[in-house]
Amino acid sequence: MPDWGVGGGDGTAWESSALTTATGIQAIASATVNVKGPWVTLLAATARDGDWLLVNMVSPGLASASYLIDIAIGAAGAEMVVIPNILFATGTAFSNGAQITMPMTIPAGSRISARLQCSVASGTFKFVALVGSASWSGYPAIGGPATDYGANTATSKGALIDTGATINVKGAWTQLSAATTSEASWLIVCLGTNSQPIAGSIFVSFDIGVGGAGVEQVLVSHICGILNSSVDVVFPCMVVIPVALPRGVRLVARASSNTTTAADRLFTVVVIGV
Amino acid sequence: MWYAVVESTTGRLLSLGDVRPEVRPGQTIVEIGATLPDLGQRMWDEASRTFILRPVPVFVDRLDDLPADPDFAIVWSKLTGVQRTALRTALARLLGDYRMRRDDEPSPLFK
Repeated sequence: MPDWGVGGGDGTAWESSALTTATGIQAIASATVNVKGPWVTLLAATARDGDWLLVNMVSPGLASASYLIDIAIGAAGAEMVVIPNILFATGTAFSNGAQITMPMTIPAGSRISARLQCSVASGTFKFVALVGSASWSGYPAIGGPATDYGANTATSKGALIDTGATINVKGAWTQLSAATTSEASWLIVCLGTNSQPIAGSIFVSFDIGVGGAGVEQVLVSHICGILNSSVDVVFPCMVVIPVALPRGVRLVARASSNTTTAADRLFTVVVIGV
Repeated sequence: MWYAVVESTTGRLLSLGDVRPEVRPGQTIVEIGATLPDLGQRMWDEASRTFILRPVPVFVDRLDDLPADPDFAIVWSKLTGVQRTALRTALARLLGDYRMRRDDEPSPLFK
């Protein structure tokens, strides 16, 4: 049973990006592949202290592209990354959306901004940021930036996860971090393809685990997704999970799928903890 | 150094990491190398217990599927060479990014 505290549930005030169209605010990656582009303001100055950060994201429908997205607070030129390397990966040119929600302390007057890198030059993404001031008095406020595990900034992809040679049997645990660098109580699990077209319909199930090689323990099991050759983005591609992740532990991921086709059984994962 | 933890009897890959694992009953430790191979290019082979190259996907032109369709074949057989080229050009424009499919993927675009 969740502990929402005394007086919980009595409302949350939200403020969001100022939009001139319904399509969100566009950020563009560098013209050099796999290099972060410029920061783009999503929210110029928050009106009140915030406890929640929600980011809506829409991909432009670029084929065979993988993105790593940063969210920051701070003035232009002094941005501090609070959510690093949010992974989004697609094979076909089909537009898709995603959303993350994080409990995060954001002081009043903060500027919220985003930037991205892409495996395709000048790849774009659209964003809307919402900051919520919760009155759920029992809910923990989490300060400080998040930490990402598994992101490969040289390729704009996550850690590659092979579901293995047997259908519906979990493949090998793949290390995202030899030792986590900070405690976390809220995880964003970003799930992607290897940014290549896949065949047919594929069901995939991810596990996130901790522990030494050969003795891994499941932290979160069976995060399921589906994708197909027309819209080959893992759906859902971002899952937020309140779970305790200690510092100093080996963090791993594995997955199973209903295919053993060598080109289709590859997925990518980034885990972000705050 | 990267290590693979392998199920001794089957060769099934159980875990990959750069922390040297303890050897446990039923498991074999295989040294992979200083870096993890690019799993986009290579995959684990349980028989040889090594990473081998992934097979390259084979792509098929959906336009080449059409003559095998009995309804389309009736029309196709009546066209001249110029008309066939014009029809292929128009269909290619219509299919766009969906013109090519993998050889193990069905021809219909949507199920």
